[in-house]
Order: sequence, then C-alpha cells, then structure tokens
Amino acid sequence: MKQPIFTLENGSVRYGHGHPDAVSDVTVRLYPGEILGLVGESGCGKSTTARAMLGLVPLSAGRLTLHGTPVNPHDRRLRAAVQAIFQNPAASFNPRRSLLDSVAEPLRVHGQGTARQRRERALEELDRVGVTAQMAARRPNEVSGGQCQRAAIARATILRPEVLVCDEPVSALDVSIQAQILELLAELRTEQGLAMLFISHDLGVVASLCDRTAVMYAGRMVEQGAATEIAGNPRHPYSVALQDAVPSLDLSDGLAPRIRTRTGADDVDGRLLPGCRFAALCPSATPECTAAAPVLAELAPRHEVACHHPFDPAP
Amino acid sequence: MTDGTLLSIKDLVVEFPTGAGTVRAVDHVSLELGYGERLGIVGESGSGKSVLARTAMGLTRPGTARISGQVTIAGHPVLELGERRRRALWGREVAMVFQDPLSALHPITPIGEQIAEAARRDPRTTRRQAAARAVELLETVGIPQATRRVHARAHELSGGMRQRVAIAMAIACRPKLLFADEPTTALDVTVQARILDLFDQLCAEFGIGLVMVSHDLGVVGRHTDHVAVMYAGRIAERGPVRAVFARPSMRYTSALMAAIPRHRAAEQSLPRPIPGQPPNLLAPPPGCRFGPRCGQASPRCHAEQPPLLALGDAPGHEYACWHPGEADR
Repeated sequence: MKQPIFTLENGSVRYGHGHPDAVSDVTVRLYPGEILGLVGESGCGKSTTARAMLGLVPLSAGRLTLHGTPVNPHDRRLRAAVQAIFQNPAASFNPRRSLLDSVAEPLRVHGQGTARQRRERALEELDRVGVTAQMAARRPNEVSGGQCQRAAIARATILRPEVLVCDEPVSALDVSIQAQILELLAELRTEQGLAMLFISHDLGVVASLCDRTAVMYAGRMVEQGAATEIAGNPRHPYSVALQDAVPSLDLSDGLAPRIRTRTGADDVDGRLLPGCRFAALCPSATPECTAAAPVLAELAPRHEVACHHPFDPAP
Repeated sequence: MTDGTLLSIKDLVVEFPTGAGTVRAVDHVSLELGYGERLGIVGESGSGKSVLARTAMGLTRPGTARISGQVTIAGHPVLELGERRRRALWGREVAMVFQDPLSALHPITPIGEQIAEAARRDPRTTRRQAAARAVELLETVGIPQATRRVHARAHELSGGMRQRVAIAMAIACRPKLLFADEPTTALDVTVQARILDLFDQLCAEFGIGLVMVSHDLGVVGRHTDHVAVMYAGRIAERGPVRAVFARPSMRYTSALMAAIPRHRAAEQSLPRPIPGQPPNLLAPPPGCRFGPRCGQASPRCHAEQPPLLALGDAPGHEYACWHPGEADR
C-alpha cells in the first residue's frame, strides 16, 4: 500500500466561539499521482477543508502530516510542497503585473536563481501549460479566463510541489474551456505524479477526472471511495440524492429519482442536530440515526460510508 | 390577436457600438414559441443568449444598442412600442427571472410587500387584494407558512427561497410569457432541481410560456420542449429537445455535448475539449463562425455562412452546417 504524501487527520475547524464546527473530524489522505475529488453543496465545508490544509485557517482539532510526520501549517517545507489554485484566477493575480512576473514570483520568494533565470523558468513553465510568451506579457485582465487559469497552474507548479490543492478551478469557465483545463490537470497528475485535492460542486467534473471521490455534507465526510464506484454505486442516501438532482444530458438515464428527500426540512441546519446530520432529510432515517452519529466504515473494499442504513440499489 | 404564437422573433439583430468597433451580439435570429411551451436557449459566455432574451423582452435600451428586426409577444410589437406602453407589458404579458435573486429583491422591504407591489402593476388590483395575492403566490411557489413568511426580508431567506420569491413576483400579474435568465446557476443542485420542477409546474398549471436561458445543456434537456443552441450570436441548431440531443447535427452542438463531463457514465473518460477560443465578436471569422475551431471545416465553411437547414425526417429540427455530423457516426 502506497504511503500518503499529505494528510489531514481528524481535522475540525470552527469559525468563532458559539458556532458549530464548519468541518468536523474530517480525514483527507492524498497519494502521489492521484486526484481526490471533494464534492458537496455550498456550506458543506469543502473549501474550509482545503483552506485548513493550506494553513489558511487554523485547525481547532486534528493535525496535518507531510510524508508521515506531523507538520506545522506554517512550516516552510509545507509552503513549497503544497500549492493551490482557486476558482477566480483573475482575482488571484496582481492586476498591475504581467502574468510572467507573477508566475516568476514564487521563485523569488524562495530565493531561487537570478532574475534572468527566473524569467526563463517562468516562460518555460507557462509554455508547458499552453500560454505563449506573447500572452505571458499581458496583464490578467487582458487575457481570457482559461488563459488566466493556465497561468495560475504554472505559478502553482513552478516550485515543483508534490501536492496541488484546487478549489473549484474550472467552475467559472465555459465547458469547452473547462475540458481543456481538466486535460491539463490530468497530464500533471500522470507526468509529474502530483497528488491533488480537487474541490468541485460539479459531480460530472469529479467523476470524469478524479481517481477517488469524497462526499461531504454539513461539515462531515459521509462517503469516500473510487470515483467510478461513487459515480456508479453511491451508497450514502445523501450522495444518491445529490446525484439524482443533477439533470443528466443522457436522456436515456432514468428520470425518476432513486431517493425522495423529505420536504419541509430545508431550513434545518444539520450541524445543530445530534446524530446523523442528514437525518432530517433522509427518507430511511430511524430513531437510531437521530441518536448516534454514524462513523465512516468500509462497506466494500476501499469504499467507506457513514450511514446506519446505506442505500441499496436492488432492495 | 392571438394566432397560437406567443413569442415571435423575426430576423433580430442587436449591435453594440464600442470604442474598438461594433459588436454584433445577436445576428439575424428568428424564433417562435407557442402558448404554454418551453424553449431553452443554450450557449457559452458571449454567445448572445442573454442579449437575445433581454432584447426580446424590450429591456435593451435603444440608446446603447442598434436593434433591427421584429419581436411580437402575445400580439404586441415590442420593439415598436414607446417606453410607457412597453413598460405596461412587463409583469402583465411578460416577466423575467434573473440569476441572482438577492439583487432582484429589495433588502429591507418585506417580501410580501414586494410581491404585492408587483401584483399592483395590474391597476384593477386593490391594495387589500394585492396583500392577499402575495400570500397566495408564496403558497403557489412552495414557500411554507406563507402568512408568516410575507413579513420576512430577503436576507433571512436561503438562495432557493429567494429565487422562489423572485418567481412569485414575476408571475404576480399572470403573465403569458416568462423569461428566465440562468435562473438556477447560483443555486446548489438539489435546490436547482426543486426550482426547475416549480417552473415545470407553473407552465403546466397556468399555461405560461417559458424561455429559459442557460449554459447547462442538462437543465435545458430535462426541462424544456424546444432548444436553440447559440454560437457567436447566431443560432447553430434548434428543434425539439430530444431530437437535437439525440442527433446533434451542427458540429458545434456535438462538440459542446462531448465537452460536458458526465456524472453517471459507466466508464471514466475526460470530456473532449473544443480547441481554440470563442471568436472575437469585433472581428468575427467569415463564413461559419465555428469554422476555425471545427475539425471538419472545409474551404466552403471559411467562405460561406451556412443557413439554417431542415433535417429531412425530423419536423422542426434545423441546423446551420455544411458538413452535418452524420457521416462519422
């Protein structure tokens, strides 16, 4: 069994006293050459998980490990080894500097090479992700969103990190451009053996790119397994409901939802409930579900589900 | 006055003069929609889908854009009407639901008052009737405890509930036609599913005609009857939804469908990207606008603009392509 490069172990994040945990007891393991997709709806804690792994928000419990040893989120080793790209690439660049300058910046911060060498390296890196020297001379507002996201990837990979955290990297892009960026990320995984955490609200994107998928609901991890397994055979009722809700382009796919969530409980904040946080909406909830929170358990090899009554496709 | 056609757009051209030249956002588009029918307009950013919808409703100001062509809604020639008579159509004949309900709602006025105000666009409605109608409308759009919720303010509601309120305002005067511009793009998928069901229900129950603008082919595929695919201001393909998605004939439509990641596919495969960038509308390519990105383009495609042609055996299915995607399937 491969060793994970970078992990978050039993991490919790709380924004301010008196608030429920934004993320509770979440474990994320990233392996070399593998993309872990993290899906869930707004507010489920997927971005907070990423931010905690980047050291951008403090953990209230749990720890980070790099190559098996605990690491302080502000450790310099971590800074070089773990890089990130975000949803809105234009906002992540200095609007007054050229893309080239911004891409060369991490090298300067880490004291590598002369100005000329850094420039050469940045041009090389930009070329590799498909940004021409002519484009690289422009400012972020002068290029398209797709070009800008490519430059953001170049800036993230220029230090040769081992881990890339991607928070909704293709959500702001049109589908024709989105597919180009997905192809590029898949190449980085295969060619450089990068470990990636890929956050998306789009189940299709995660199903087509990722090796493993983790589903979050109300701050907890509810299901985790091979991406094809989660796409083809989801077992947590929430994962099923989430998948049912996506309007499929394949008109041959069934129209009838496999699970009918309970209505009238839309405004219930699952985080405030004891037991399973999905219980108020779950059609198969029993008193057991509201009494004790289910923990992630292996239902099938490498397929973990946190549910007392997992969905059975053929009851 | 009515001849079975609720919305008719004929040869519509919308141009925006800019410092760098003229952008033709909508380029000779014609469309029709019957009473109670649902039409989806799909396309990527800059394809002209929103400008088309806004112009058809009479929202594009003649001062900022050059508009030619004809738009008729329930017998009213929208583009020829003066400001006052055009405004009179809004709410009563045609209404619009936008992407961001928070910017469509007043932050401090209780939602019940806002809906009542919309209901009073019909001058026959009294204040008292409008207040009662607000409660009734909240129930129609599926907001529980309506009598209590009329006092709520926009910020107290979730995104899905806000969009329901915006829909209630739009249908307050029983319009015949509803435009929805990316109505669920800002919402989570589970909430989106419920809002889309609500649109279906309103169309079926009140016979409202719906024009839904979306970048999401799945949304349009599942919740409309007809679809028009736009690219660079033109209609690339249109027809009954099932016919178009089962047999995409214009090369852009098939490329777009291949670029969409599938969430329930049996085997994992990356979506196929469309090479290149959408055209610069300041200097669009001659001939077919998709030509420079199309793998099958021939010299004819780069020289001559393909017209919308009928696909022989499928009524209403039309495509604009010199080399329709049949041969290689």
